[in-house]
Amino acid sequence: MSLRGRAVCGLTFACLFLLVPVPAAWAHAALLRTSPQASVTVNGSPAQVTLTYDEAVEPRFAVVSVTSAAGQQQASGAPRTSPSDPHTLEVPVKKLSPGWYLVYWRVISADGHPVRGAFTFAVGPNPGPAPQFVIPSLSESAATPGLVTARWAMFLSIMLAVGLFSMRTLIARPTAAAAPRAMRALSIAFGICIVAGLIAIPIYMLVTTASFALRSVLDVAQIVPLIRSSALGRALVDLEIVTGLFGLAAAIAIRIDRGTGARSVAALLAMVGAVLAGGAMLVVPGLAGHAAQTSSAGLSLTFDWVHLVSGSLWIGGLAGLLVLLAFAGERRGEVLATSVPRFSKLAIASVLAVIASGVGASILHLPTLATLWQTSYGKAILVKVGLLCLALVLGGLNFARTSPRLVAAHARKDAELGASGAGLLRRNVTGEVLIVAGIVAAAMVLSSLPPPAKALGSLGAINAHVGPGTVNQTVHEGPYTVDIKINPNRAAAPSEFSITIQRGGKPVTGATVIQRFDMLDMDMQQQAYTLTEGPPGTYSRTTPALVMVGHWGLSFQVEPKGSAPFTVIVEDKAEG
Amino acid sequence: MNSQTGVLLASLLALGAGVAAVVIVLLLGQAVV
Repeated sequence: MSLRGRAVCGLTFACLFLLVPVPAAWAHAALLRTSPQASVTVNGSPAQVTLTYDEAVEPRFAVVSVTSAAGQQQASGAPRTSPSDPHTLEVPVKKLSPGWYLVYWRVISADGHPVRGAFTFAVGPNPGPAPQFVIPSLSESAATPGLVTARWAMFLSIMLAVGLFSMRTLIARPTAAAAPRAMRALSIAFGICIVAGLIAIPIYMLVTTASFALRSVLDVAQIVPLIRSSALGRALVDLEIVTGLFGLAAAIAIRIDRGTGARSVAALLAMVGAVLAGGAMLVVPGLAGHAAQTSSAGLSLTFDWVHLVSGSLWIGGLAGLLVLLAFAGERRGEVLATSVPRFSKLAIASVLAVIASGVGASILHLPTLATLWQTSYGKAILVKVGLLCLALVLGGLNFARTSPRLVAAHARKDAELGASGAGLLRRNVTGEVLIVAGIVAAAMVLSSLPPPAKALGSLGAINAHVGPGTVNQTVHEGPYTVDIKINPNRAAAPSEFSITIQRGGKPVTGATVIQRFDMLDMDMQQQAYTLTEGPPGTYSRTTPALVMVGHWGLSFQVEPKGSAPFTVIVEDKAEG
Repeated sequence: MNSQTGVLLASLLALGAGVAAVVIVLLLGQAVV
């Protein structure tokens, strides 16, 4: 392979893995409303508990339990979709006696990720004090090793297939006469990748459906009928069909191309069919994942598609070069001299497209620049960028040192110089491979994390970080001193939120205080309550607004009588 | 059927597969977006 080819290969390989999209970065189903309302006392037993989400959720994968303070199950049936609203789940309950009840739920989002939550309500007229419920775990990750491995295999197969097809029919085509064996090898490699994809997609379907249904993946007879019950499952069935169509169209396009000279009309028609099918195939992951669920779906889907197409041309092309190297035989020099410069041009264009679409997608997913270092999602991106820089250093070394040495050795027929160049190259490439392995690991970590909630972008400057546990924090905002108390500051349980406002040592009375709750770990609807004044200058309310474990943005909007309003914002961590 | 007709039919089959793939993806897009 030529020097330039090597450098481009190193760079492209490293960048590819850095920027391989996170095809399943998650938009979670957010709970919008419940009936009975969270922490409210209702008079008399409700016939059912209803939960309304911001998207349709599949009742077959939903788990909703309603338990009494004594831990007894009160749900009398399985959750079902409300006949009047597909976003609402209904769960029938037994006749509830006065007291407090815990509702614990788990649903699967449209993009295939599990979300859990809990809230309490009371049946009156005299429910008594709210007990401290034991809440099951509220965290569940879709990124188990099995799921990640299956997804990785699926993506790698279809991306390699697209890239190998372009290598076979566009890049290496002029060398077909010189090395028919290498062309055949490329076609076979393409076929292997298509078959691998057609096997990997159903495996991923099974693994992911098993995790939705909380069953073993070996329970195939139980899982298969459920595959089309989830949005992700339906999209994967479509992906399997479209991949098959791409394989068919591409195989025909390869078979009827004479290989040399101008393409016939029939060959061009077949090429168009294959390109359409390949392009369509790479839209499906975006539709099945987070891209289709973001607010600007069109833009997000476009970024995802460009990312996947350019990444596929790149990685498949690199794999194609390896195939050419292995099978070009005696005329290897000629084959590589033609193919590598052609691939280099494509690779450079692909790198630029991958970087541009990756940056675009990051801008869409990160609400503020600060979330790049303040959230786990952003930190994972930074780790990948750091690893990329290391890989670029090695790529640069290859470009600046190794390549000229190899060229000089070839020109002067200097065996010693050639050997030292080859040694350096081997070391650098080994290093790059290790770094790329690290980048892949970082990509897997990133794909297991939710992107920062949009609320982080709109929250404003945070005055203090508080929690977990009881909070007693004093913050200063302009001429005001504000004491914030949260007790007991636990998720899914009523907490008392109170602020005492003073100005110049005197209580600020008669103000209007509105408290807003923003979930910062995932997108969820904002809640707002008015606090009522008790002792002069102290405003409070008891509410179970912290419905989830995690980080909350608590904004206290204060409008003192006759003075300018101000807002105090704290980031609170609530535990179960 | 001579080989030219076969080639033409095969190319139409490939084109049809491409169009079918696009239609499937459009329908999927309509369902999820």
